[in-house]
Amino acid sequence: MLQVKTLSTLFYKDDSIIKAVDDFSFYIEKGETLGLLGESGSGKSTVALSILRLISKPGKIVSGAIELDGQDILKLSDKEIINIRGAKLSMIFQDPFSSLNPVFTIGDQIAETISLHQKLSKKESWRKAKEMLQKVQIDPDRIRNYPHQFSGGMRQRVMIAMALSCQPEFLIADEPTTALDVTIQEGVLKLIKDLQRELGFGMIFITHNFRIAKKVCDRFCVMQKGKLVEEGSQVFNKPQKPYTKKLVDCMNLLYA
Amino acid sequence: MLKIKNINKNFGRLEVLKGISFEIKRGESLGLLGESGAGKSTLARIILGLIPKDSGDIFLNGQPVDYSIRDIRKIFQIIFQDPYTSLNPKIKIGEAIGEPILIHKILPKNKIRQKVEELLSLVRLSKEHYNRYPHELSGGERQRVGIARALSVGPSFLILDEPVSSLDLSVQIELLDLLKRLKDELGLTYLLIAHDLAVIKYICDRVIVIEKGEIVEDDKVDKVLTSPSDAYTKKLIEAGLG
Repeated sequence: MLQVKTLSTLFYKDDSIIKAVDDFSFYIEKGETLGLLGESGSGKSTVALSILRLISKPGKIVSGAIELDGQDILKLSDKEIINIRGAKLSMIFQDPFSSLNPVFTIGDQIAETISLHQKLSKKESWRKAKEMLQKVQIDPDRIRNYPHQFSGGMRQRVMIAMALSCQPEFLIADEPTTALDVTIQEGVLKLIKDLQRELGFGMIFITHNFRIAKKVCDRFCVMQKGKLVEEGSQVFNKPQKPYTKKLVDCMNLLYA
Repeated sequence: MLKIKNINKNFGRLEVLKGISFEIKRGESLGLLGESGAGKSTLARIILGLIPKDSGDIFLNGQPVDYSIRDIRKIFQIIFQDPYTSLNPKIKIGEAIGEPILIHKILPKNKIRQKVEELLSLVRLSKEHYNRYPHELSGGERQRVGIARALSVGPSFLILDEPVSSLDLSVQIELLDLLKRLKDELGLTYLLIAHDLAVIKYICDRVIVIEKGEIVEDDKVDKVLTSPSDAYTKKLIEAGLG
């Protein structure tokens, strides 16, 4: 289980302080999909980066705990967190165009993660990388291709292969389909859900798109200005808070 | 009002538009739906005269459009997708809106400020926004500035190129409602480009679906939603609204 307890992450700007995440708590079990919903600037991505301890200056995690199977990630040394990041906890990002290194082949990039965390030989790592490509429905013979040789949807699949290559317990998916066309979105979402059933990881699905969240997630946390507004599976059917209701009404107005 | 006839456009060997033909009636809102790379924005740029077409004709009220004259901007205007990059960061909002009025010599200099204030109120911004800079505004407010600037020269035809797709949902609805109201108040004609069918459904009467530079569907929105004639359209509807 991954538990975020009273997390506060602040950003210091000149003489002002921005509370990007403000006393925020939630939990997620393995195998489950939690939707982290909110409008832009609500703090969703800062929560994700805090969990992976990727907050850097001028930002700072000032209080709270992030417990992975009872162990507080915030108390780990920098060396210890490296062993968890990409292994037990993994992440895919919104923009598949900027999240792959353009000068290395996709094989280099997937195998790097594998060899780093699983201490495998180069040959073994590449063999596993090929297996992962197969899992995300990319022809393994393309392992020596560079990112620019793939479409947006395929790059996102490569990112998924990389993120899942070490069988993480939890995957953070930050707007994974926002940059993709609707017909491509569907394929990527289905792939993620199928792999989740197969591999059993828990997923924090971050999005501002309520329509997609409704399709993909079991339970939801709605965020506004760094705070938790509402939590549960009732968000779409019986929103409890006025803010949630407003957002759901907007969605129904546009997509009903 | 506007008639597009057999437009072709290639970029090198890539055929971006292949024989596009359609008409827009005065007062109509026509949606142009397609995925990235379909040719939507290229078509918009050709209609505006920002890039040349390879072949084909564009008629306005029966006459071929003369893109060599600046006055064409008083008829056609465009709203861009990204309100962050479409405003000059160093120019005050009021001046940005007034600039086209000055360039087109529509009003004497001393009358411009009053006109800009009217435009601000038309898009539901306040007079205080006149002296603000773009970075002080939210995305939705910036998009309103873009609309006010486009309307400053009194166009009759607006191309809306993904006008709400970079905004939050609640802001999207506010802006779409504003666009609907402006259309009725000012008798505008819209060509709304979007990849999101829901946005088109909210505002348009008719929709054209474009795939790889070709029109695959052209009909009333209700009709397309309930019984699309083309397989690609069907896929888009299922993915976009399902």
